Amino acid sequence: MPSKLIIMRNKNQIGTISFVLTILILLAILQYVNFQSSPEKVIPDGAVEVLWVNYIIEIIVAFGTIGLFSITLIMYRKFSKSEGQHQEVEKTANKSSLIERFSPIQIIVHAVTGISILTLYLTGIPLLYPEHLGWITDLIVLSRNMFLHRLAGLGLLSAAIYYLIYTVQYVKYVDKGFAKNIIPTLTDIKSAISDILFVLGKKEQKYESHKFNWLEKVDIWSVALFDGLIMCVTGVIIWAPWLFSSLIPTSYILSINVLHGGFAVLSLCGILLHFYVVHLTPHRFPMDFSIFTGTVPLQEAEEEYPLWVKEVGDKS
Amino acid sequence: MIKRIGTPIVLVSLLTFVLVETNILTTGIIITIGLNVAMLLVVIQILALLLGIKRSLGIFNKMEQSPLYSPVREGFIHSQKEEQ
Repeated sequence: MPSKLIIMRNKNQIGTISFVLTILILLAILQYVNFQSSPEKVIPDGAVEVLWVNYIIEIIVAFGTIGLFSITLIMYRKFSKSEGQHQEVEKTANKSSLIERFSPIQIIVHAVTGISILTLYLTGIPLLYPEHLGWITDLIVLSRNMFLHRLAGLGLLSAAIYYLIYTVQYVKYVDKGFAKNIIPTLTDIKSAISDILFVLGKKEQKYESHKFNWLEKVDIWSVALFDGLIMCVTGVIIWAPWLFSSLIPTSYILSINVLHGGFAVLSLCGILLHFYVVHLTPHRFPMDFSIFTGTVPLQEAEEEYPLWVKEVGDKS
Repeated sequence: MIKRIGTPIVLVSLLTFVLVETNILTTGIIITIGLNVAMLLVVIQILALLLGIKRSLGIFNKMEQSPLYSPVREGFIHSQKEEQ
């Protein structure tokens, strides 16, 4: 049997095992939350917020939003300065010649994560700014709003658990080099500095990127750490605080509420930046379909990810 | 012109979050507009995702019907035809 077929079978097995394990973990979480819930264990009213923790969270969120706004400005200047180059590629590009960039599993996980996160924003952010966005909560009705929020939270949690299990198995059984594409390296820091210097007009742009550039890695890790880990964990704690009151002091559980809201704002700013860079820049407007079709035009890939295209060429 | 509309929209909504979270400006019509623009962008993203998922499902359906189907191969055949 050709080795490629064996790999394909392994991929299918990995997908199935990951799916089954994800369902089991989700069922376990849901069962635990439901069966352990008892009204007398809810946080007592007298719990006092730990103000210094809240201040730290607010400072992180404030600096985070400033940082993300600055990165957006840098990317705007970068795209403005290199617009002529993009137009040149656009004119000469042969759009029929494609290269595979995302696997079907990645496409599905992106879709589930995307829908879940966006639903979470739509149902969660209005609760943080009721005087400005209260009409959205009124429109959905609060009880339904929270149901949708938790449902979307489960969607995000399942996508995060599934992809974690899948990646671990994939790296172990199929391709050990799979993870190296997303691990931040010194080259990424150099690329980020190079972008800033290019924007400031102090350096000519010389971009040599692997499969994902520095900003895409920031996107991947911010979604994995902020949304997949911090938001999911804090979300589950807020959902059923009585389960954790023996582990975490009640005052800190109140701070976790602040953390959940603050990091939700940071996460939304990160997704807005992602949306801008991927879809709303003039050369990609109105939409880039590569995450949905799994392919990108070869010429575009050669321009944006030359080291990855070379690596794929060498392998094949 | 329409291609450039994304930049001001995203910058306005991000700037609103900066103003609110740094407590420089937390109330007023500017903040209300900025936050609502951000939520409008979220709704646009949901619609864009649904549109993209529709295309993905089309490709998955073709792969299901014919296991040898691949968008890369289809593109290659198309480019060969164009060259001829």
